[in-house]
Amino acid sequence: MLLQQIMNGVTIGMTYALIAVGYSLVFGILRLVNFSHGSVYAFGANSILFLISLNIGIIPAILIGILLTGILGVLIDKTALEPLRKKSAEGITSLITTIGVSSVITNLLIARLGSQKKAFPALFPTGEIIVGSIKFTYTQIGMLVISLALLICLLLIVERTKIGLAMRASEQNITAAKLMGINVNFVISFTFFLGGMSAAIAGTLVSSYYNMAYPNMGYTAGLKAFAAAVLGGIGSLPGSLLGGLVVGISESFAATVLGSEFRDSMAFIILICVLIIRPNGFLGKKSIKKV
Amino acid sequence: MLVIENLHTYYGAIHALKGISLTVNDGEVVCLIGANGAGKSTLVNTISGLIHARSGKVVFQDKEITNLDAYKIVKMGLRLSPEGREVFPDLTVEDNLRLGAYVSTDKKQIEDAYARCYQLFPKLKERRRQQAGTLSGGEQQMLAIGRALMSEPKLLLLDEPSLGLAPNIVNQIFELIIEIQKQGVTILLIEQNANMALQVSNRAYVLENGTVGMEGKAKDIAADNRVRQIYLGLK
Repeated sequence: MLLQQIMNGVTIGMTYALIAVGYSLVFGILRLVNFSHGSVYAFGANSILFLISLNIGIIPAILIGILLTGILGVLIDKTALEPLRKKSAEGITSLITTIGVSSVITNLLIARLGSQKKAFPALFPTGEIIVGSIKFTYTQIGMLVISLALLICLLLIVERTKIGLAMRASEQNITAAKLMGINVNFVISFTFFLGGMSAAIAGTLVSSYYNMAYPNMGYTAGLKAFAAAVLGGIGSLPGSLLGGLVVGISESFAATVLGSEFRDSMAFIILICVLIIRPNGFLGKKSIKKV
Repeated sequence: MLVIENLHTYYGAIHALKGISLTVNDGEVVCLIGANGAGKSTLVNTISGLIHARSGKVVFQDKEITNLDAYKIVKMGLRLSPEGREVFPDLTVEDNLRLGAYVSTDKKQIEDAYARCYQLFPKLKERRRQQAGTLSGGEQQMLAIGRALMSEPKLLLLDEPSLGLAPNIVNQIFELIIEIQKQGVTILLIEQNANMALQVSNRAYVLENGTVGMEGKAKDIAADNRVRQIYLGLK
């Protein structure tokens, strides 16, 4: 029973981690909490559901949807945020802009697709493997494997590639990064692209897990993933994973022990408790300060 | 190499550069001296594209680069080693240097650049796996200069390379400047330490309140009575 709850929590926690990396990567470079990220996640799931309904095949629909969502991330930056950076606007201006963008995207989804919950097809065959007292459904195993593989890919991109080095440099000092010949705006676009793609993949996995998608799905998931990113230490990829798992497992327990009405508040209760003791999250740097 | 014509730059409402014109010829070391707030850093930041000029022209190797994005100017072979060094503190020395060669695509060229850099700064080789933030001030300055040389620039702008360093390290930095010039890099040097700067330079400009107050051969400037009093602290 206990192990089963942990397993369920880990499964959903991995998807929070996938959304959290989007917050974390963008925050790392821009010191901006991108509140439109939850709506990007919803866009991913809903656009993929729409593409599936066009009968182009489920795999092509998913791939195109992931790509489109990555592009949406870039578009948000290019149309709404880059102009503000050019004018050296205050951080709060960009923050409000991302909240506005979030509403616009969610509303466009509702206008185009309707606000009702729609059935999302199962991506994995039904069935389960039973190990001791724990039941692993194929869906859970699929979610775990895909999420973990993706997180490892992201980590490799950031730690081992040239563009990843440029991302880490921009994170530490944007002016110095420019002086290295790095096109910082391209690096930022790339970061939004990665964040958008990860969110779309998370959206697909979650929608398939719960068998539904709807335009407002990004609201709670976005906030919880943001909590996960802060909990783990915003700006840190391993932190996002850890934060996502803690949020996932704790809400899984909250639902069983306290009742399902406590599920959604658990992430924030834990967040508040942890931040009092470790203000920078589990793996966060002591202080994020620009030189 | 570099020609600047009548350059005007504003910081908000502050008119920081009021019509600066200067020239740096191939192979020279030219220094800019002047008091705090005279506009020295504003000038190099404008040249390197970090801040935009209101009017005037910056021409580098016969191409106008006024207000181009900073990264494009780096690609053309003009680099700034900024005031305060601005190394990436959480990255290793090696990664900092790799970033210095960011615009190079040729693997061989990058390997050669590492070798040249480690020859010039043996200390950096010893510390190549260390985080740059753990280096001493002098080592960080050497890293900043080494990093700027990684892409084999034609023109190097050095903004206050001796700032905050111990006197023996300052001497090393100025010896390095001569060495770098010998390797064929043209240098525009900004310095508070006017005495040392004038010793290693061919020509000099004195900036005063955003304009060029004086220009000429470094040794003539160093011999000028007013310069001796104001900038060199001599009678």
